Amino acid sequence: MKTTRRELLKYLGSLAALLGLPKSVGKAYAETLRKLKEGKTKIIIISGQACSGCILSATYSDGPFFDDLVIMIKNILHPTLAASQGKNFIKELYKVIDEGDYILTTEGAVPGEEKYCEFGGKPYSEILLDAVRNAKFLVNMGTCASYGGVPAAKGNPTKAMSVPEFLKKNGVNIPYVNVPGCPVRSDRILATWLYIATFDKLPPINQKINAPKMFYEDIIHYNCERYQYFTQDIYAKKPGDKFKCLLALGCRGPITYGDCSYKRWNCGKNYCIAAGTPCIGCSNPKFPFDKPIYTSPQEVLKGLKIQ
Amino acid sequence: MIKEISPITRIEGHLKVEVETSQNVVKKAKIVGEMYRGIEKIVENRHFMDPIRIVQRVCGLCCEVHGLASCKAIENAINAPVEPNGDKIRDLIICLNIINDHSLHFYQLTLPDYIDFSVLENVPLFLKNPPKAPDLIRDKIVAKKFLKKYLDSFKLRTRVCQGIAILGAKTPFAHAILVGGVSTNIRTDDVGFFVSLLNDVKDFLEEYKKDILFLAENFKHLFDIGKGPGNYLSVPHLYVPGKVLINGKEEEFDVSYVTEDEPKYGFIKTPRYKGYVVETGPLAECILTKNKEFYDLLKKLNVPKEKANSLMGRLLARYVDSLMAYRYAKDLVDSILAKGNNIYWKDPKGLYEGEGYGFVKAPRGALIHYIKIQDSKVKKYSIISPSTWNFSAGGPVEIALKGCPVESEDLVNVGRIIRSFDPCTACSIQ
Repeated sequence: MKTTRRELLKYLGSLAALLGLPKSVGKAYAETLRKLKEGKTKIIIISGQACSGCILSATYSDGPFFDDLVIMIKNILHPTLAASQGKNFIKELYKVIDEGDYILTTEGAVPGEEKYCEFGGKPYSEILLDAVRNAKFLVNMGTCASYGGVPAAKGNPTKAMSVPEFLKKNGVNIPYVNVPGCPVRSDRILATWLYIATFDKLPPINQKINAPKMFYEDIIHYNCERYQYFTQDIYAKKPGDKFKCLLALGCRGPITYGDCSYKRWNCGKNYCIAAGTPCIGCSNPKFPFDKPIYTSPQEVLKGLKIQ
Repeated sequence: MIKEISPITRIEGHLKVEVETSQNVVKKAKIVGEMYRGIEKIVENRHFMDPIRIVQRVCGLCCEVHGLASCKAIENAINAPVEPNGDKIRDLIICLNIINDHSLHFYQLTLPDYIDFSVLENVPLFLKNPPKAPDLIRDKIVAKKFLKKYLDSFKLRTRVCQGIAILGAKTPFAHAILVGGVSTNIRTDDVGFFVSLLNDVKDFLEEYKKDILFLAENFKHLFDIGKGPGNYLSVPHLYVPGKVLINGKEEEFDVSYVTEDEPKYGFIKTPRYKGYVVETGPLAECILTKNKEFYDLLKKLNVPKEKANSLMGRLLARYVDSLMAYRYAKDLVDSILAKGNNIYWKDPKGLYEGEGYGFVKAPRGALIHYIKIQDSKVKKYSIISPSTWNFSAGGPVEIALKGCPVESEDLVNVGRIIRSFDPCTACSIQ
């Protein structure tokens, strides 16, 4: 089943509404998709210390289906999808880099020492710098690229860092936006690409975490379906407890920005708190935290810096 | 002459291969993993329950199996009971994970090695530059048909992942998988979803069967290359027993015979069983369980049994594994109760000690997690993933590459053999 133009416009209209724009912007998006289809917008995805979770998550989308998007965004390049291999892939990649004017998307952290991530005979850091040089915009996909994430967790054996941190160290300036989450959710990354392609600028961001407001404006806690139990001090003793707040199990909802509580995951099917398991703050810049994941609320609230 | 493929694309992670060739045949191969994060080190000294969520991040593709293996290791270490319904739900998640994974491997990662999509107009950039193989199928009608399947499989996977999310909160990285079961409450209408989902999976598997047979018919010469060590290993989980086959002798799997050395080169460790190189994965499991479906397919193709141990044999076995996972999932759906309280929770604030193993049948084969807990903290954590077994220095893949014909500069068959093992580099190097 192919998504029809009508369905697509409907979806784009709702995307527009999500951004706080008039529904007619859906038409502007449709225009963008036409441009994408003609190959006028290019997206390069490169991956460092990553697990491929983000690129895969991007494909688990139902509106528009990723396959439609693949056809539309003809010029998308990612090593996990590329037919070419070895030197031919590197050639292909550098051809797009040399042409310039693309949206660069990074997946994964950057190691402090070059030997911890090599790709096609070059350190990842070198490829990243080459790719950034000609990029129009930079989108950091997922928590690792945005803030360091798991590779940069306490102990950090490879001295891993986020992409913005790496670029700052190397004195490179480029307009960028983070789209955090472990992994990124498909609509968050697809809509960010679409916004940039349509308006030729970055979406409005929540300055605290440099992530698009359309997804990361609010703290998860405030929209939580269990908020009423929090206000009544009714706390769960174990995961899966119904009608109870999960704070006592270490829920990071109160310190994490995101729209999980109303947009949910995997096409709206479910998400952590609804499934009775606490939010572990996977889009939080401090993820995966130094403190235990399933911990006391005091530990969570100690780091509380809301507004 | 030394030639290399760097990077090997259409796999998970960063991998390169160097091959020494003479007279257009590979004499020696060296597999090098090129990315390291040190996740086993990262979880050290953390709270003993943290690894479930952190080692899950080893890989975005096989995340659910790592989550479960970690839970099982912890349950084994602290003697935690598992709620039976919750256990079934966790297994159903793994079955769906297996179907999801094999579909990605066949349609997105494998097909471009065999079918030239660039003969079509309007193909995406990443399919425009196929490996230069003399035997690539260049028929436009075939390419068009398979491009549709290539794209349609994204939709099936989206559906399968919705199923994992219903059971496990979300995916990749299902957070409802916990020590003692799952936190999810299953409702009656959820069961309905799975009946419909598994019907879709069944239809999909029928197509998959046709497609893999088409490939096998057209590339029969690939039953002649990619012969692995012939030693196989599987761990007890789902529809697979814990078995080992070494030099033609079968025995029960016993974890105490597993050894693990530091990498000789690159970052991939070298696990051995009683000192032997062993292959793991769907092919190993089909051979160890004398899988009837698998041997029937070989018969249908007029391929002798001995050629099961080959490049094409592995691709065939991966289809059979999806079928097994589907059947197992179907039985699970019939027996899972729609109810809440699917977990026996151990209070993380208690004091715990012990060591334990977790075994999971992952899409790529035998997955082993080991944890040592002291003062409720992780003293030592170790992961032997299927790709660690297969991609270690001197391991099954390097053996399988020996004798591989090198027909073009692009080393197409080398790439095909490597992909037949479905490498997951992120898993092999944590």
